[in-house]
Amino acid sequence: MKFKAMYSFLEQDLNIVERELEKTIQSTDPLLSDAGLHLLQAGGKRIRPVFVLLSAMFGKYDINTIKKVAVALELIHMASLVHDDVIDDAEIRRGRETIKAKWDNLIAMYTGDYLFARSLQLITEIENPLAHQILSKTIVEVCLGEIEQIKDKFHYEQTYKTYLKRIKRKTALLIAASCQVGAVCAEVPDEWHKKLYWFGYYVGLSFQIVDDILDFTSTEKELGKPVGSDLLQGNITLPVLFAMKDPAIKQRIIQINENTTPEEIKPVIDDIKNSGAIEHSFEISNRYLMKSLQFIDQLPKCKARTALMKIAKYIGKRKF
Amino acid sequence: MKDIFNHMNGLKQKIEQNLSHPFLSKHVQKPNIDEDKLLLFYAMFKEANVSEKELEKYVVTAMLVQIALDTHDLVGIVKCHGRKEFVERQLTVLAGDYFSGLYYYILANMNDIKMIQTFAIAIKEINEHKIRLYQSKQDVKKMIENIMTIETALFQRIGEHLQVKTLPKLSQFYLTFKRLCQEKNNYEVGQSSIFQKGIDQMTKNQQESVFSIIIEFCQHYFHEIIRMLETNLKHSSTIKEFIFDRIHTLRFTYERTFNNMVEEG
Repeated sequence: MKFKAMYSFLEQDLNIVERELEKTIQSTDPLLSDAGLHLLQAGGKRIRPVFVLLSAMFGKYDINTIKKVAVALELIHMASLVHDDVIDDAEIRRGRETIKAKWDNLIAMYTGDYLFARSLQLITEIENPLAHQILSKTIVEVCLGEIEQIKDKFHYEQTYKTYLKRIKRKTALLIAASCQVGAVCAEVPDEWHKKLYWFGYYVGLSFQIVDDILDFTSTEKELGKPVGSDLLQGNITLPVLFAMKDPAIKQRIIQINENTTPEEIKPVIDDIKNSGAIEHSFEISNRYLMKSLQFIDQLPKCKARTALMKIAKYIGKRKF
Repeated sequence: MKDIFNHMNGLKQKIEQNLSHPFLSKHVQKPNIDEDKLLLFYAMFKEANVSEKELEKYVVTAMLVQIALDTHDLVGIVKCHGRKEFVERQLTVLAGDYFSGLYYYILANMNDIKMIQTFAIAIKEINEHKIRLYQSKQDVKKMIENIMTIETALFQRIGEHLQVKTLPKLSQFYLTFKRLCQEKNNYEVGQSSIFQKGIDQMTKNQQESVFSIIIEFCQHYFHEIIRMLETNLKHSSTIKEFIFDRIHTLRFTYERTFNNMVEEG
């Protein structure tokens, strides 16, 4: 089943979100509008808006209100990607030139700041203090997570716990916040929006673990970046942690540093793929997926719940 | 006067507490706290009669926004030499994002959604004008307008929100005057900035004519600042005195540029 088919009933509303995204990124400065459009055209799954809309369906769903939350969450995500490309010195994302490559680092910084400001300008049209408390805390945590990621680069003695804490901040919290803020803004009862938070949280963990697996198992074409990029940049992900349980593989992995070339890393990628670490990582991802389903199971039956379940399962099996 | 000094110091400490992060402090240059902006934010919230407790939070958040924006100006555009420089750049990006997240977090916990919106509108405007200034294919008057917005949009939007008029206007003249002095100084010592990037693309003659226009603007702004301080500012004399003091400090800091301007004026 294709990803979009799982929530086809949202198609019209997602088109509204897409149009609102295009409208929101428009600037009085043509270069900023171009840069924003360049990002939008690169596509993406719009997974955060989907979670916002589906979670809002457990309450008073009004597309005219909830679209603001969906757009804001996607813009926050887009802003962080633009800045991440400066951080990673990345030339390509989703098969297209990054903003920093097409223009330069400063244009990328200003574009990211502009998108973040636009997202807050839009979401503050919703006067719900709890929604802003959740979202602002998430944003601070995400930044702290990224700082931790830099700190942990090429640090081979880190533990599973460190990895988990990092992916929690890097990915899970923003997905959890998408679910919870969407629900809070639709006046979903407290008990339910908290469950939606935990659903998003565990789906986010599973999503990131799969992402980290795909960095080894996918192709350059599918990834839109070279295979093994994370390891080359010193990001110690779950497959690497598991593979390092074999002392011989560990010995080869710890030789990787900032001067290692993509060619040199290829045999290490094969080692990791043949070590059983990929399968083990999938098991962990599935475990989090099951946890997420336990939370969604406690919510009332409706088409939004079915769609969330299907999305969660798809995330665990996706190929890219 | 001593009272204001104490207040400023207290606020500076609060800002520093918010900025402090062990790993960032180790790798990224210490953020500059612009004392003129600090004073003007303080004076503006004071004029709006917000409570002492709220005043502190508003000034801290406004300064966090300013510092976040300034931090992102420091991100280099040329390839880094070596890992140390690369890590510094990565953390400069993240430091700006973190400070910016903090302002949202503090205001969200004050339940002041309207103020978050006010800041967001100003940040949007500032970045639009930074991009315009950076592209620099425009005449000098437009460049000065961009500088004015970059330096003062926060004051203008907060002023509108608080319905305070005199201080945002004073900030416009004062902060643009200060930035233009800094740019003239940057030009003389060969220091780079996004404004200088535009200047660098011009011929020597064009550059000289740009700076003679800048000097005219500075003369105008300087006289406006003095006029406003003498007539319009309905503030306690200590704040006025403090601003006068800062203007004179600025005069000494950029003495050579300043003397040219004032003597000609």
